[in-house]
Amino acid sequence: MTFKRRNGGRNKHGRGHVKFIRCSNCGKCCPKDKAIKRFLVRNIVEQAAVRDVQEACVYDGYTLPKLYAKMQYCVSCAIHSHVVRVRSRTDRRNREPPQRFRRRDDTARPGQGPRPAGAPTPART
Amino acid sequence: MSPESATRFGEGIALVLARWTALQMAVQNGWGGRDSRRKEDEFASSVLSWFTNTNAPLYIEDLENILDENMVLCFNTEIEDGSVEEVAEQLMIMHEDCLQDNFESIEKLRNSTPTKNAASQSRQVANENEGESSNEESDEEAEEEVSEMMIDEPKPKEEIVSKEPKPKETTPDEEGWFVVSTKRNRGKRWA
Repeated sequence: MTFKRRNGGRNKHGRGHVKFIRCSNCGKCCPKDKAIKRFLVRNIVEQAAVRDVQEACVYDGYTLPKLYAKMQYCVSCAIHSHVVRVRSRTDRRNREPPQRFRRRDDTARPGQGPRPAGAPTPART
Repeated sequence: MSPESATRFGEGIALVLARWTALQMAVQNGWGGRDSRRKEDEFASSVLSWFTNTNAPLYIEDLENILDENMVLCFNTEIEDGSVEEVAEQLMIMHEDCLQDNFESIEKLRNSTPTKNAASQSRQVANENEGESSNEESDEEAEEEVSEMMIDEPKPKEEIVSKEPKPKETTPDEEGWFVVSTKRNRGKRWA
C-alpha cells in the first residue's frame, strides 16, 4: 500500500512509544506527537461584549486581560473545527511556507525546497 | 526605499514585534519549538522583505494575512484577540513614515522600554494551574475558575490568624453587647 505521509502522520522518530494526551474537544486519547497543538490567544471578553463591559467598569481605562490556552486536538476534531484542512498530495509536502515573497537571491530557503518530508498534519491553506 | 532607511525600518519592525505580547509569549515559552528565537528573527526579516519587495500597492489585509499565517505555521498560535490588526496598522504607519525619511516613531519606540511584565505575569498564573490541577481538562473556563480560586485562598487564612487574639475582651460594645469568648480546650473531651 502507498504511504500517505513520510513520517506516518506523527512526529515520532527514534522512539517506540509516546504517552497519549486527551483531546481538549472530545476527550479522545491521541498520541502527544500526533495531536494538533495550538496556542490560543484570546480576549476574555468577546468583541461584541467589550463595550458593555467597559461601560460597566469601575476603573477608568482598564485594559481587559487576555486568555492564553494550549489546545490539543485529535485529528478528527481538528478537521471538524477547521483548525487544519485537507490538502492535495503535492500541497501536503509544504511544512512551513510562511512567506511567499522571499527574496530569491537571499539564502533564505535553507530547509525548504525539494525536501520530501511530509507534514504531520495538513496545514491551513 | 533607500537601503539606509530600509535597515532603520527593519530595526523598527523588530521593535514593534518586541512589544507584541502574543509573539513574545510564543518565543519565551517556546511555542514554536527550540528555535523560536530564530523564527522570530526570520519573521522580522520576512516582513521587511514583503515591504521592500512587493510592487506599489501595499494592502494592510495582505500584511495581516502574513502575520496571521506566520503565527500559525511557525508558532502554532491562533491569535484571536485583534492584536494582529493593531500590529499591522502600526507597521503600515511606520512604513509610510520611513518612506518620507521620518524616523521619529522608531526613535520613540527605542527610547521607551518594552513592557516585559505581561508575559511574565501570564506565566505565574499558568504555574499555579500546573501545580494544582494535573487532571484538569484544558477547558478555558475551568482554568479561569481554578486561577481565581488560587488567588483568593491565601487571603482568608491571614484574616483568621489576625482575628483570633482580639475577641477576648469582655467590655461592652456600643449598644451594650458583650463579646462571649469561645471556650477553647476548656471542656476536655479526652483526659
